[in-house]
This record gives sequence, C-alpha cells and structure tokens, in this order.
Amino acid sequence: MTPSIDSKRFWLRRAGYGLALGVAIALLEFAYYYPLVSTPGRLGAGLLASVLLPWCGEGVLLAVTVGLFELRQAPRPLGARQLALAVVVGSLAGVLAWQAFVQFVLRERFGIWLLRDYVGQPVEWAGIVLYNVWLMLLFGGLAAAVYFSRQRHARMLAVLRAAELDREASKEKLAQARLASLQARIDPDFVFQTLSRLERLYEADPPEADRVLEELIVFLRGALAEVRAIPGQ
Amino acid sequence: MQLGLRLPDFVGRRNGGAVLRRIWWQSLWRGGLIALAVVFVLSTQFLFQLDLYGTWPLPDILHGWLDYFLDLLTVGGCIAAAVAVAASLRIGSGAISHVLLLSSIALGALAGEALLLLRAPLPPDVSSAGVLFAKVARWVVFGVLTYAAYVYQRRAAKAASQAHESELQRIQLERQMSEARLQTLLAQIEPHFLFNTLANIHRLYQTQPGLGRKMLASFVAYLRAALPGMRSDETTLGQEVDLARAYLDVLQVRMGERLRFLLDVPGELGALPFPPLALSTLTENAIKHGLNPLPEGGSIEIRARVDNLELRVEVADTGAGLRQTGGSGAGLANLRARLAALYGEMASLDITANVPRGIRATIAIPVRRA
Repeated sequence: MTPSIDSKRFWLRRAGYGLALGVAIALLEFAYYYPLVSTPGRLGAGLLASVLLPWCGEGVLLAVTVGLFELRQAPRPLGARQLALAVVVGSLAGVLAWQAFVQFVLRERFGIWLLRDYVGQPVEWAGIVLYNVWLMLLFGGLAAAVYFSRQRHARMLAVLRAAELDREASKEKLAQARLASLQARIDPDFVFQTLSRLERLYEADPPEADRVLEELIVFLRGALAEVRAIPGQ
Repeated sequence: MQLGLRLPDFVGRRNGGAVLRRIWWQSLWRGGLIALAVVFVLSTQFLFQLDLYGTWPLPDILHGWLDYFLDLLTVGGCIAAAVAVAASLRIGSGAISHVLLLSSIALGALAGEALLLLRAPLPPDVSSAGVLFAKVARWVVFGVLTYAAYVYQRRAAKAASQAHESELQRIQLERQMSEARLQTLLAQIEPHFLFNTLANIHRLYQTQPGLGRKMLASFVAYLRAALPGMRSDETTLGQEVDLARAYLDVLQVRMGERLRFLLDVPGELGALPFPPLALSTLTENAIKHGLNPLPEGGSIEIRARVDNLELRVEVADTGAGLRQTGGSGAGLANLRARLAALYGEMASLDITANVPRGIRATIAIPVRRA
C-alpha cells in the first residue's frame, strides 16, 4: 500500500486525497449556507474565495501532514495514535494558515465578501477558526480512519496471502518428505528371511552361500545409493 | 452488506429462533453503540461556536448542547433503524448492497431531519428543501465514511484471523514433516548398518569361518529383536536392552578383546515403555566415537534405574571422550528431537564426561506403566 515513499506519485496521491476531502467539505458547506443566502445572484468570487479555496487548501495540507508523518515512520505503517496526532496537527495548521489568508488578505485587503457576509453572520476570526477546526477534525479524522483501515486491510491481505503460500509450500514439502521416507525403506522381512536362509545355506553349501551374500551386499549398496540420492534431505 | 445482520440466513434452521434473536440483539446493540458515538461526536459542534461563550451563562450552554444532542439523536436513531432494515434484506451483493446501504442512510436522515423540521419550522424566507438537502448530504458523507472504516476494519480482522489459522496449519505441517524426515533417517541407518555388518561377515567367512558363523547368528538375533520395534512409535525397555545386547554381541565378534560390556537393567523395568532405537543410538555412538578410535578399545556399561517416577537409562563408555567426538551431533540432536516430540519438557538427554575417561550419556523420561 505504501510503495516508495519519497516518490512523486506518493505526494501526488496524498494531495489528491486531500483535494477530494476539501471538495467534499466545501460542497457540504455550500449546501449548508446556500439556503440562508438572501441574494444568491451576487455569489461568485466570494464563494470560491471563502469556501472552495480554503477547504481544498486545508484538505491538501492535512493530507500532506499525514504524508510527512508516514515518511517519518517509514517503512513501518502509521499507528492509530500517530495518525490522530497527524490529523490534529494538519487540521490546525491548515485552518490557521488558510483562514488567515482568507480573512486578512482576501477580505480585508481585496474586499472580497465571504459567504458569511452574504448570510449576515458575524465574521470573527477566532469563531471561524474554531468552527473550521471542528469540521476539519471531524471529516479529516474520519477520512483518515478510512484510509488507515484500508491500509490495514491491505496489509492483512498480504500477510494472509504469504501465510497461505507458506502453508502450500509446507504441504508440498511434507508430501515429498513422506515419499522419501517410503522410498528409503528396505523391506525388513525380505532382509530378515534372506539372512535366515543364508545361515542355513552356510551349513549346507558354503561357496553358494558366499555367492548369495555377495549379491545381497551388491543389492544393499545399490539401495544405499538410492536412499542417499533422495532429494529434500 | 457487512453488518452481520441477515435475517434470512437464520430462518429455517433448528433453534433458528434463538440464534436469530441473539444475532439480532447483538447487531442492534453494536449498531446502536456506533450510532450513539457518532451522534455524540457530531453534537460537539455546538461547543465550537465561539459567540456562545460571551453571551450565554454556562448552564444555558450545556442545556443547549443537550438539546442539540437530542435533535441529532433523533436523526441518528432514524438512520440506524433504516440501516438495520436494509441490512436485514438480503438483496444483491457488492455494489448493489452498498447502494442499498447508502440509500438507507439517506432515507433515514431524510426522515429524521423532516421530523425535526416539523417540530421547529424554519423562517418563511428559508427554503426547507435546501436545508433538508444540505443536512441529509452531511449525514450521508458522514455515514459512508463511518461505514467504510467499519467494513475495512472488519475485513482486516477477518484476514488476520485467517492468516493466523493458516500459520497454525503450517506449523502442524512442519511438525509432520520433521516426523517424516525422522522416519527417513531411521530408514537410512538400517541399510547402512546392514551393509557394514554383512561386509564384515563376508570377510570373516573368507578368513575365519567359525567367527563368521557366530557373527551371522548374532546378527540374525539382532534383527529378530530389532524388526518389530524399528518402525513403531514406542517399545519397551526390555526390547531395547535385548537389541543393544544383540548389537554388542555382533560387534564383540568383530572387536574381540577390544570390547567389554556390562548390562545392569533390573528385570522388573523391562516392561516400561521406551522410545525405539534411543538406547541403540547411544550404544552406537559409544562404539563409533568412543571405543573405535582407541587401539586398546574399552568397556561399555548400560544401567537403568527408576528414581522419583523417572526412568534414567545411562550408557557409559571408557572411550576417547568428549573432545574427540566429532560428527556425533546429528544422531544426538535427532534423539533429542524425538524425546521432545514424545515427552516434551519432561524428558532429557545429558551428555557428561565419565570418570576416569570417556562419556556418560543419560536419558531421563517420566515413568508410564505399559
């Protein structure tokens, strides 16, 4: 799930997640405030400036912060506690930076009206920051939880796949070992009966017995070589 | 649907009613807890309104929070009920079930928010439909994220438990495999020993036929003792001692004066169970690594005693001793592994120096009457 962590793709992907989160919250916020706006015709720059821009920016900053935490922790995955810390730090940093930009630069220097101006709600810096931090923590935290769970799921699947492969390999090796064990056995009854017969034969016909013993030794030498050649030992 | 709540699964089984009731309550309980947690977290939004704190006294703020919480709880309850109903319908799988769940969240939220609107209508200049849409959208996003996290966590837990299961099976297979390898090893020792002994007999018959005959007879006696026990999992101490005696008899023919041996095993211990070829392994080691390297040979003493519910069998030789023993590691490690497999922690194999020289190997196993 977490490939080469300093690759461009990693950061692009993080930024994409953040952007998606920001757009989602922006849409929700817009839907929330839109019915309260009495003169919808004049919305425009203010909508972009006070909703889409800061939320997207905050989302990306949050995602990048999580990415930085991941980078610090790599190659180990983020734990739940570090993820929570990353979300809190990222949310605070994102909201403070972007709301400062919106309030003090866009609104006060360039005179762009924000959504709240249209609604007629007070535009207080601290109040807005507090509200945005709450929303960001809530949705960012949930999104991070989803992301974290998905990663954990993928990791567990990989572990499962590896364990199953190991098990199959063991099964195969066991079958081989059993086969080898069967092959290695020399029928004990055969040896025993041959030797008993040999004992009697030595009484009756020693030269013939000598010949039989020699053959038996040759046979055993062959059997030994075969046993030694069994693979997997 | 991954909520563990499928009514039709349990219909038509024996005791289906009881199972159904238990599963139903369990998932209701779990779903209710999740909904409660979600609602509580959402309600904290109320506390993040800065303008409250300047104008309202604290009890009023807390009261307002409670009101807000109850409002949210109404909607959360509607959503939980809708999801429970959707999960109990066994419709489709994969994408279809996800869509079904999504719409159940939306419908539940719609119903809950509509209830709230009925109780406290909006000012006339605000579009109810717009407010309703915004609120439902927020619930849907929140619900979907919660659901996704929950599903992934559950799947991860399932995969983890399956991996654990698979690992356990693998360990079992490994154990069976070492058993099979052990069998192979045992089977390999036999032809080797056979081969060497027969070659010796053959040579003896060429030079000293009398000795050759004696050795062949001893060897047949050895095989007679060895064959029944060689493949089985457990023999008796008596059989093992007979085997060791036959083996030493065979070697006595070959080594003559270089080998003296003494077996001191009380007859009443003969019936005690004993691992097969354990004594033979120690005896063979004593010959191969102890006595064989020495031109003057030596003696081997085999003793068995029961002490404190423990059977101790020792093989002591006056051979070359610990330092000269090279290559006996595999046989002993093998024996150790077999003892561990049969008795676990309760068995032991100790190798110490013998006085005045040589090695003393002691097997200790718990006494179990055959």
